[in-house]
Amino acid sequence: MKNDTADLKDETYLQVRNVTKKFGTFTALKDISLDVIEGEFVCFLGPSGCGKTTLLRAIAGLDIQTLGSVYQGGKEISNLPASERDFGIVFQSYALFPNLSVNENVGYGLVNIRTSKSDIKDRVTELLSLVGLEDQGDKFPAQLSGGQQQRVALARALAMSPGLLLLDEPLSALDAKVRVHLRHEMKELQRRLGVTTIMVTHDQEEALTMADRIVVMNDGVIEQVGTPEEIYGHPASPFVAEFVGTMNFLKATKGDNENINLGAHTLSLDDEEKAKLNGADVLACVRPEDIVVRGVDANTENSFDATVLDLEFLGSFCRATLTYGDGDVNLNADFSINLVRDKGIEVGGTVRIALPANSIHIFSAG
Amino acid sequence: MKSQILKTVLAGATGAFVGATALAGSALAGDSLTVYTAVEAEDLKKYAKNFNADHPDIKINWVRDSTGIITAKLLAEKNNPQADIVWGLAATSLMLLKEEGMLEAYSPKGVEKLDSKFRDSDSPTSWTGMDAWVASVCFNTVEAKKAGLPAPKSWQDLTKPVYKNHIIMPNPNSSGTGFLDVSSWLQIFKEDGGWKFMDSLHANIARYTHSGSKPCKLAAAGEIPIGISFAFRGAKSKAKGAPLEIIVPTEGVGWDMEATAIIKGSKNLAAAKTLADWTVTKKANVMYNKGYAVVAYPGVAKPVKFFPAEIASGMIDNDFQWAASNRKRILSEWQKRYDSKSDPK
Amino acid sequence: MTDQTMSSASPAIVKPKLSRDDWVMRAFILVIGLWLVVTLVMPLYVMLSKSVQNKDGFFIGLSNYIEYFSTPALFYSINNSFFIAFLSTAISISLASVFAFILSRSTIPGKSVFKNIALLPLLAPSLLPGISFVYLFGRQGVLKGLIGDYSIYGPIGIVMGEVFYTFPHALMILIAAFSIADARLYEAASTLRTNRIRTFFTVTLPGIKYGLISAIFVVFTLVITDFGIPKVIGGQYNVLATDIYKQVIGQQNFEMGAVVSVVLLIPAILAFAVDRFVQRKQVAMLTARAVPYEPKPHAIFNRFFFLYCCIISVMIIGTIGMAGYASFVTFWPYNLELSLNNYDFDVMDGGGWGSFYNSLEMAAYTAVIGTSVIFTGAYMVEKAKGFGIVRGIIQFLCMIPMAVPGMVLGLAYIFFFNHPDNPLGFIYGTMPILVIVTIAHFYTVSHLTSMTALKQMDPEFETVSASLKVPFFRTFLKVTVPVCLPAILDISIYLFVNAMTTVSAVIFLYSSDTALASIAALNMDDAGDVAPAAAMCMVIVATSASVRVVHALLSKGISAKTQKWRTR
Repeated sequence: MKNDTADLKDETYLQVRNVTKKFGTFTALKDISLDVIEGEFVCFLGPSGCGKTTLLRAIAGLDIQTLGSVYQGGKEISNLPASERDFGIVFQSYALFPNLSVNENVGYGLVNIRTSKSDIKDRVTELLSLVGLEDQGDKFPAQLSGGQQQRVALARALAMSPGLLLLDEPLSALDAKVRVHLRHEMKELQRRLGVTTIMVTHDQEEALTMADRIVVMNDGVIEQVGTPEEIYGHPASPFVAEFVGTMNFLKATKGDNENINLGAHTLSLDDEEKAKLNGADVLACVRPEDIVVRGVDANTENSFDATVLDLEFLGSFCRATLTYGDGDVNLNADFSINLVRDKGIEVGGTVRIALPANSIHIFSAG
Repeated sequence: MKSQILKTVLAGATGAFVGATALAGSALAGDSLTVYTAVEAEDLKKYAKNFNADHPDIKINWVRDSTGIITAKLLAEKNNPQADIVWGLAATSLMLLKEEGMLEAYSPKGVEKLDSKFRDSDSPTSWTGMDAWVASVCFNTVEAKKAGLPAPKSWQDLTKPVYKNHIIMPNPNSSGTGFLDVSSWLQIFKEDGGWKFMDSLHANIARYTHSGSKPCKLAAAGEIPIGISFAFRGAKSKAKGAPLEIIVPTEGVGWDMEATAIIKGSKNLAAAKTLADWTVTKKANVMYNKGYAVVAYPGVAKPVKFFPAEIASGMIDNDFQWAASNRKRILSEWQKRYDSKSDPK
Repeated sequence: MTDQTMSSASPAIVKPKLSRDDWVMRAFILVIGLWLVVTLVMPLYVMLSKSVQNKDGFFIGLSNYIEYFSTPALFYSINNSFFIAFLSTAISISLASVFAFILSRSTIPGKSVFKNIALLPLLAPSLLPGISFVYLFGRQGVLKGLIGDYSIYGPIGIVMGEVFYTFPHALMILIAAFSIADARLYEAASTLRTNRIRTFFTVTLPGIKYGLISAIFVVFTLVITDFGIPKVIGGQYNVLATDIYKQVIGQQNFEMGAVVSVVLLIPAILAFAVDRFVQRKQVAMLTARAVPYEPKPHAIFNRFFFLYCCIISVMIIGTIGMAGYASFVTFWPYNLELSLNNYDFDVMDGGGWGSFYNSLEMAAYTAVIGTSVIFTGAYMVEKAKGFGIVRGIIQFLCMIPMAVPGMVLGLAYIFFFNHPDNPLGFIYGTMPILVIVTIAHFYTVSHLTSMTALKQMDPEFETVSASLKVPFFRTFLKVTVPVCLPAILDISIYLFVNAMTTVSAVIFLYSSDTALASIAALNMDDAGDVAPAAAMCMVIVATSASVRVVHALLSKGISAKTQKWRTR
């Protein structure tokens, strides 16, 4: 394996250049370009039909792109079949061979490279202990739980020490609890092995917790590439803003002094956002958890009174539906339980809220 | 276990191909004749045994099926004949093959001793007859008694209303025997009279069968009192204990013969000729007489048990040539008259 | 910088490089395609092209068709064929649906016994019901009172025979359809207090819709192309299939026979096309979360169900039993003394016991080679990438045999394989040609069974193998074949049983060394030896039944050994 990961960190391992994939008249990928750095964990995130799986399959050589090229480790692999590429893969269904034992499944590819029987046995044991299934080797897949099956599939994918690990919705068939647990385990394992990994998922939480970088896709194009923090904190488009996390989209108009008018209220902006004020109508976006109540008074910047229309209890916090001005525009805000208690927020009551300038994102409307 | 099964599968596949080659190879070896025939299987063993008594060096490989199938097979193989010789097929079928140029013209030694009716009129002959295959009426006495039917004496008797729905005959479009019946009636009663006869007979027919022997078998099994078929079949059933009477209608009966012919292109022509020579011997005809009352070699025939005695005299002077050349016309006329009607309940 | 100028030109379409697996698969597909072309397309072409030729082989356009269509008899045949096909299909499907429903959705005792009895007709040559029905319902029949003044020789007999013959085919498809049930739907229905009858119409019936349609078309096609039963018991009732017999066997008019064959292909192909179209719309009934349905007992229904199964079983056993009885009778109906003489086949027409051993050999080869060829072919067609047109054509070719009457196939084989210029001519008149024609004749159902089994396999097995650098054939042998073993055994048994009973195609192709038992039975019947014919039928039934039993035991044994992964 890589002996000096630190040095290679910045080296691009996988390059996708101008990849377009057409199925008949339908274009599933439109001129996609992307770099994946050696050892990083990248998530393709997007709704179903966005092209994320198609891109993964193009990288794997399963459905080769119509146009464009793919390089792996500096070598062009654009037109190579899957069997001549270097990757391990885990599918949503795991595709474990039902009639073979766990040992045989994990050692399936090893047999073919003619390592000796004892070598294979050692490697299989090593892999199974890596995924925490040392004592399950003689069982058949049907005798394992979903989480265990998933780990067997992972061990099998890692058996050949591939340069690239591809995960196609590997957790989506699992129960919520197991899923959360496996997220950490997989991420941990990936970090330990330093294997460059691409995971396809439609679950933003999964992407945010596991990925080093997230590639948000929609409708065959990449909407944004960035770290989870960048994606969440600085969405590049309304689509990303809405798809990752929750977001209030508020119609506003451009004000006189590089500020905006939200109904009767005038809100000031960060410098960065001011630059985005192009047309007269804009969308001001604010995350529900960024709406501030504590310490807000009449003088606080960007503050105004809002009426509480509804309070939805969601366990650790409450989601409030608020209205301001004429009453026909609603706004969601997440309030902690003790805030609700301290401030006596209740349905029908009024609360003064602030939308801090640094939490407002501007997109041009329409 | 799994790989064991697969090995077996692969071994089987290989075996099949090796087997195919081996079989193909064996077909070429030795002095053996492929003989197509429609003669009953139980007689074939006897035929081969008797022939081999005189010619032990020639092995006979029989391909036996019903007349229709064998004829169709021979014609379909026209481009690359498989049979060396046909021994025991309706002469009318052989005439058809002759017309197609499929028969080897060869007069077997001693052919002139055969009754002239029983051999091809050309010289050298293309085919030689063995025995006559005579139409007759199989009459189940037990069932007739139950239904109160008198025994018919003539073809015309069969048109009487009392026999309504008590008669079965073969469909001439499916069966050579059926055509034999129809063509003989047209000869006996002349064209107009023949169709008129069939019109009235048709009114009494319960149904037509596809097979020529079936009417007699059905009569033997009591499924119908009267089956128009041929004498040989009736005699066989009678021998097995069927309460049958074999009636030779007084107007005379149509007949065909079983005959022999060498197929042009035989790879074993010498052996085929040896067999053809043997089939016209007196010895062979004595053998045919075990099952058939009328044989080709004059003076050989002895009465056969269960065969009606008057059968030889009842045989009409069948004009095979006329029947063959008018076959298509007769069949389409017959079909128009009797086959197009919707089936009775 | 040069890079930039290069990329400004319109980008080239990526031409995927084919892997070794792809090449091997394509080679296999071509071999399978070649097999189908040689054993099916070319013979049929040679045969069917006769329909536009005259006797001397000259092209004469459609005049044979015009001649045929101007005979009034044709319309009776078409009418009769459709009448028989519709009626037989309606009866067979109705009886089989209820039977299948009971077997898969009720708790009556003895279900496996009933199922095995119901499948018995598959093991019998078509001559068998012919003989039995005459003995049962003929003029001397023991039950002739049941059909009153009507005659068994005609539409009634044909329909009864066809129902007997098609019942197990329909049953198998319908059982498969019924067994795909999601218990959650039934739980939902019962929590909504829906009564059983409404549940049946709102849950059960829609659930089996596709199986039902498939069964209808299979039965319809089987009936319309079958000539054995109409020939044996149909009397003069003309159907299209017997018209071919009349033309080819009665009048040696191959050209006209070809015309009728083409006419007969039309409804069969039409039925198949509609079926395929409908099947395409089927969505997976069983999602990963479906819960298998566990029938609950219901005393009153069960009593009725049990009675129904008993009645059907008695009818089937009665029909086969009557043939069994007939095989011991000395001379029906006048000498009912029982004897074993009828089993002394060596003194009868048709090749004696030798023909039986030939049949066994032929059936064994057909089962082994046919299963290997058909299953491997289906696998390649299902799993290969690209090559869409070739795969599509092969899929289509696999459907044809169902629509071709065996007699047409048999004659086609003579014309094709016995042609002096055919390099494969050496197989003519040998055992291999019988095996090959039988495989071709029963290709469709075996292929469909393979496809069904293969479609249940995870489509990513091959992908995973490729990523692990394992050649696909290792995965085929190590995973696909073992997992599909139950289906593979089913196919081999299907081929074996049909090879034992088939007549129509092989009757033109056997030679002196390769006479077959099923043909021997037919010839014995033709020669008036009805009892020995019945005896041979019984020997065939008994053989196939024992092979099935061995198969069942074997499957059990294999299951215990290799299928233990199925159990949790």
